[in-house]
Amino acid sequence: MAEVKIENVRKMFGEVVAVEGFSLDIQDGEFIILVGPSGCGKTTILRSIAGLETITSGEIYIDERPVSKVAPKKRDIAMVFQNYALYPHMNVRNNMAFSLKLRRLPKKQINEIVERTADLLGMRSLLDRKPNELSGGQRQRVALGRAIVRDPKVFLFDEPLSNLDAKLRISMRAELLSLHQRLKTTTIYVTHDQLEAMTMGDRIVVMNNGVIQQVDSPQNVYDHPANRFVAGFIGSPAMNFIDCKIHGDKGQFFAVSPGMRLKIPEDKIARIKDRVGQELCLGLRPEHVIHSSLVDSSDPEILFKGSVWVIEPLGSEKLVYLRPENQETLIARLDPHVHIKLGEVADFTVRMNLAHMFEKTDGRIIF
Amino acid sequence: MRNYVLKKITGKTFFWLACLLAIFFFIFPFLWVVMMSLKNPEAAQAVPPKLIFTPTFENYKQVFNAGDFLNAFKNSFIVVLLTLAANLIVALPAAYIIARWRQKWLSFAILFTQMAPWIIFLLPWYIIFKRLGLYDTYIGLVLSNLTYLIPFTVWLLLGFFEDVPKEIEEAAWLDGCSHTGTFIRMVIPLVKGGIITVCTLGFMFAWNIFLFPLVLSGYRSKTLPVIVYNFQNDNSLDFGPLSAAAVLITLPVIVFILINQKYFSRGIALGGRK
Repeated sequence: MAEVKIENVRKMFGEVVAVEGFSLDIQDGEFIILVGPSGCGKTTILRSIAGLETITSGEIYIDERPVSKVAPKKRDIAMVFQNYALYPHMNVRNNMAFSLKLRRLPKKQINEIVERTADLLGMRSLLDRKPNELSGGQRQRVALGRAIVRDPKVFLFDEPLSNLDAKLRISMRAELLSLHQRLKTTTIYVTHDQLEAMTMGDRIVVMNNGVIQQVDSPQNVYDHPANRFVAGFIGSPAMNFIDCKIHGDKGQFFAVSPGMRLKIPEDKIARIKDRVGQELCLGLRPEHVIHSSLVDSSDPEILFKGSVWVIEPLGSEKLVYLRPENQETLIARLDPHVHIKLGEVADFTVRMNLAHMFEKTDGRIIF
Repeated sequence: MRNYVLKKITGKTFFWLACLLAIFFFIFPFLWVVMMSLKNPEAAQAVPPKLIFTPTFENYKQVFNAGDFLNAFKNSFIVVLLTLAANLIVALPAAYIIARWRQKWLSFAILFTQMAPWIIFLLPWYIIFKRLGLYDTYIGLVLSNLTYLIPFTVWLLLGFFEDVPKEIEEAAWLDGCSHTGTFIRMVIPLVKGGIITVCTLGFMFAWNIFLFPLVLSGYRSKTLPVIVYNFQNDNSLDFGPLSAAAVLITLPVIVFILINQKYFSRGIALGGRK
């Protein structure tokens, strides 16, 4: 177990800046998720921590020891790769024992560690098989076992579940979490799957274009996104964005857009009152767009009409794609039993107290 | 339905006949040489050729009794083994580095040496090897073989190295393995098929090469193809012993290929893919 400190790291590939000004303190035993779209630099940072990439500037510390010039094998970290990277010519036992053999541990001790880890992962019966005789999930387990036997200071995971089918991914996600709770090893986990990001990490690091956008707990990132990018990236379906203009009228303020005139709640007015006449961007989570039949009294000042053009019943909820007048499509996450028909023009209301407002130009958050 | 079955049977029969014909076409010269090696001088010279005859091993005895033959056999083996070892020692790391640094043009640049006709090297080599004391030595013959074998081996191995996932090497580094250790313990076992392929091709090349040893070897390092050449002279052609020697030379190559056949055919296909 170890603390990892990343200080102002920059990584360039030729003229291309892959990571810029990346700073992060990771606590001992913490489970950190690096999340972002493809090419955002999350894997580059992970590989830099592993020592598989040389950073252009900055420093990485593992337990206060600068490691940017230390060889990968001397960093005492274990990494699970996206494609598992098992040694194809070795059986599972030898795959797991390889690092221990290099450390010249006694054969008996190696066997004990390998078998104990195999038991922990429920794969004792697979020890004599070669990787090509294993299913995707089993290979994943072996890759995990190979990392665990080393008892490293830090675990690095590079999208380890992305090659598994949806069902297996869910069960492996739970297993990884329970494993982390038992081992308490500092873990840095890269994914582009926001569901993994939300469910697994103590903290999420959202990245875009090589720059950190936000570092916070999953719930805070969801509830209080730092900017429009984070708001749109975290959450599925994504947040609805509506271009609007701020109107002021007798001490009340409205976000106005074709077919909509939504009153801004009292507690948000302080941040908006100087912006009258300006074009901003309103952000609404799908669950904050509600069918009017589901609320007792709909405030007419947060009501709008929308025509329903797609309904996706998901069992536990219903996703409704609706088009307010002259507007882009909005998505509403509704109760599965709400009566709504395709083509219907229905009244919808909005939880404005949970809505967000962003700058239209650079996406900075206003509230 | 009956027509369909009939068509299928006819098709298969033609297919097998064509296969047999092709096999016969390629194997006939060798069968002929084997037959010649088992005939006495009279039967060997008979016109028309005799297909039914009493086999004799006299020709083989004559070959073995010719003092040079066993010595040449030993020379050939030593030259081939040294050639294969040196070839792998140079070509494996070279191909690996070219593959990892994605400098494929380098392998084509190396292949350039193969495009010149062999004969143009012989006179300069003869003079240089004489001056360096490499004439009529194993090292001289090995060096001449390597000039042609290394570029070809590098080129053939590239595809195999490119197929080894980089992550496997990275996983080994993180597990505590050095770069050299990773190359030996991870990469080499994964290109085993390629190594066997290039060894088989190298064996065939170095075992059968005639022109280089003819010019660059003297009495001490004469190899088998040169010795076989000695069974004929300006006045006569001794078919029986010549055929027996040819059979004896071919046998090791056949055995080597049969042992490695599985890897060899797959290796050829893989190596040529990229």
